[in-house]
Amino acid sequence: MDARRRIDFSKELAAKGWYHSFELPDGTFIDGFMTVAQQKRRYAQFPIPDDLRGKRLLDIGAWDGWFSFEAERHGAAVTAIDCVELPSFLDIHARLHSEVDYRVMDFYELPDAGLGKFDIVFYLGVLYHVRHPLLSLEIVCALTRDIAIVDSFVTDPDTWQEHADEIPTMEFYELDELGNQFGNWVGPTVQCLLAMCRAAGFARVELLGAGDHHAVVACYRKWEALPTELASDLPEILTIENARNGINFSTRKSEEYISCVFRASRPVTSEMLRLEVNDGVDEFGAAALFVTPENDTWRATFHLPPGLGPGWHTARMRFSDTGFGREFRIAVDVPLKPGKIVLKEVYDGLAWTKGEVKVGERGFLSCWVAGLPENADRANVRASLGKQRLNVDYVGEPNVEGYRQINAVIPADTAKGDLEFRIECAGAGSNSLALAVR
Amino acid sequence: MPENSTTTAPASARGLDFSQDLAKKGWYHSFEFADGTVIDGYMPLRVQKERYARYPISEDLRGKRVLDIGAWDGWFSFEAERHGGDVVALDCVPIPSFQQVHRKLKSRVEYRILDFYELPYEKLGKFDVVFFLGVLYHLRHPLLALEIVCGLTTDVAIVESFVIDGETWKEHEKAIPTMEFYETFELGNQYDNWNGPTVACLLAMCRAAGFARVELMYAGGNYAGAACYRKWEPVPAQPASPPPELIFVSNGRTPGNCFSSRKSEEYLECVFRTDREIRGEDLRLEVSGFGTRAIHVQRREDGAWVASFRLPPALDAGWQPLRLRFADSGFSNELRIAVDIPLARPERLAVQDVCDGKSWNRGEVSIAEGGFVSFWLSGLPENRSALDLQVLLSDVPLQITYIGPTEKSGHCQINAKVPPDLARGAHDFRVMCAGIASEPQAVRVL
Repeated sequence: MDARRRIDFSKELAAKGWYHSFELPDGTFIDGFMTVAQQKRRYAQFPIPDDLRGKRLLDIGAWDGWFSFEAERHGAAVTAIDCVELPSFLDIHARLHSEVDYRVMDFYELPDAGLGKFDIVFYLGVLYHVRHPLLSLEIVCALTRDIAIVDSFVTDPDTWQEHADEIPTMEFYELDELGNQFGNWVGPTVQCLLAMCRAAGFARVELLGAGDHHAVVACYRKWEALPTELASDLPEILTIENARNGINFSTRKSEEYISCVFRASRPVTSEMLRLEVNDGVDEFGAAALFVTPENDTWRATFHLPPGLGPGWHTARMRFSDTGFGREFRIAVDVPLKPGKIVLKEVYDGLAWTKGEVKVGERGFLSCWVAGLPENADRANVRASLGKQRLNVDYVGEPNVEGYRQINAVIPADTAKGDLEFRIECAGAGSNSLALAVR
Repeated sequence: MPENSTTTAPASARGLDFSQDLAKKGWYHSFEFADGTVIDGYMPLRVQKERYARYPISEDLRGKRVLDIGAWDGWFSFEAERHGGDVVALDCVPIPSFQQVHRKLKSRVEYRILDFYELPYEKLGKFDVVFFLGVLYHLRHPLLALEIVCGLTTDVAIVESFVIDGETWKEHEKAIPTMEFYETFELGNQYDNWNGPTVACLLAMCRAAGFARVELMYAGGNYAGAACYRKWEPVPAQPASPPPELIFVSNGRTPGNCFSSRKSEEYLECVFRTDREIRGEDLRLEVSGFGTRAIHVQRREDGAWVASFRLPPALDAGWQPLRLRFADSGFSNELRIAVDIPLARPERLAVQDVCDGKSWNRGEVSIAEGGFVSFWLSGLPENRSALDLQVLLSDVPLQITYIGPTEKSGHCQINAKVPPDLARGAHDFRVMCAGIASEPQAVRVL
């Protein structure tokens, strides 16, 4: 415990008065706790372009603001936020005639602050000060279009490679155990920091460096560019949908997973899969959590990328060395609006007899329905036979007349007789059709 | 949650995969019905009863609201209902076995399907007793989850969780608490397990979430259970010492008596007097009936004590009473704080007696080392925060360091720092709040 208490730079900081150092255009020099050389070395380590003109950049926890003003010097439109207003930031802001947009807010107010998304997010030295580190990384991820730089205190910057295969851990600081300061909450290992960045929803996470009590990570939302030489055996995609069921996703759920079922002509590993969701502006990547063989197909599972706006988006997948397979549409936070639902015909799914279905080992029925909402899917369309609810396992695309094929499973223990069949969606019911169950 | 049968996932590093046992049994909880029917689930009935018996809740739950978060087959919900509790049970997906037992028992338990993090927005009200059994390690944000649980509890929450050192925790009780983070399948071959705390970490998180008192009920195997109380133990019948005199309370972040329940961390700073020596664990602060623990206490130069407390979670909006006692005393006098009260626009602000904070010379202030002004202001609304107030010397905003209570004269004292680079000479001094400014008056900077 004493080792953590010794990481206390509050006296040095108090003696200096400033955390960041500055060399101002008028020759003024401000000598802070961190040297200008250190700051420049850190900035140079970030894999961002030298020319940031046209880029929006967010600096979370800007403190005296050196990184904000440096990004502005490189041409970026910068928003800097902090949880309290720092006179030192305002002082430099005034001296530089800076146009950095400075906002004072609680970290967790960020998603509702209406700031929009940023090409680049700096999340430097903040993670260990927040009570909910993974939530904070999800928030950072959702605000990022391209890359977030995550720099945090870590407990094992010099030794992490010695236990790289162990389960990642993080320390929890209830009071002032870290550096004798209240307001420090977690101390992750390097591996834990990387694992949390991945779990937060970034497509790619790269360690830039570790040492001197901290680690720096580049977190990318997009996949690397397609290789110039593409292999020809791209995946044959059968479906891309919600792993729970259907095509609808809710960003209010804390965990939403995308499932992709595909065929491949070679062995598959999670590492070779590149899923992408296009929201009309960006193509956000998601890494596979795992992939499972199912007969002659594979099923891969991904986190839904954070920060998608409401609406219809497209999802597609490729292998690391191929182009993309077929594209599918997914509905994110799209309200399910009922219409007038018309049920036309019901058939036995195998014998194709109209109005009559057979109970058997694999009995199912097919029917044609108009008036369903566009985002109707297996999870929100209900089929009932008499009082029994049937499991809907297929909702097709509308045909030229606007009718959609729906298949539902007829359980083997269904009682025979003449029953009413109907479809329901979003609280609206269809007309009933008589169905003879034989 | 999709099944994980034969996958390319790495083998579970922590083992503990009971999914096959569970699949064989079909049920997680066991049940014994009045008609003699028995359901033999993964967890024996005896173990369920032992667990329930350990919870420090009254035998008679009539008139009590109970929330069971992650009820699964629902044994604990139905058991609390059998004891008279008015029960709400929650799960993230509808569990048919719960509904089956619900019908069989003709239960009146209210069953809700919700994502855990939707709970605070669901307007379920507060509960005397909350069961949070075997859910914590399934959540991505464990401390946030405990804050939400704390905010829903008025009396006691029972928190049971997977822990990584149920048998050995005493050996490293003094070490910094840790938790494991499971990115995918590391725990039990399931990918919806997110963290594995040590026993000490579980207790520390329960305290950090805002419970007044946290008691370990048991730890063993891979499990630990804590009873988390929102109220202090009753005042001793025979107080051994006199209560403290509570002098002043302020927001620890920014001067003033305003608090926001939307902030992730709000701290109270209390100034009190007593004749005795004080340690943090002696203090029992109560806000609106909820207890909160001191995280720091120190003696000031003037002999008074100042202690910091976390604001209890989920306080209602309005003026909330606050009082302090020692473990062995009765309560102090009462003060109050403003929680989520919108700022009222003052009609008129009047400044009186602007003086140097050190020499008390009127109409002047020295910018020597640590110079500050003190003045008296009337017309401020009762809920007041430095965030809503501007103190200006020739339009240079000064940093407010203190906003006092309203004194008998109707004025309150305010202190503000004067920056050392301010030009010497005469300046206009003004105070602004919600667009209303005081009459400028001349102050000489020396």
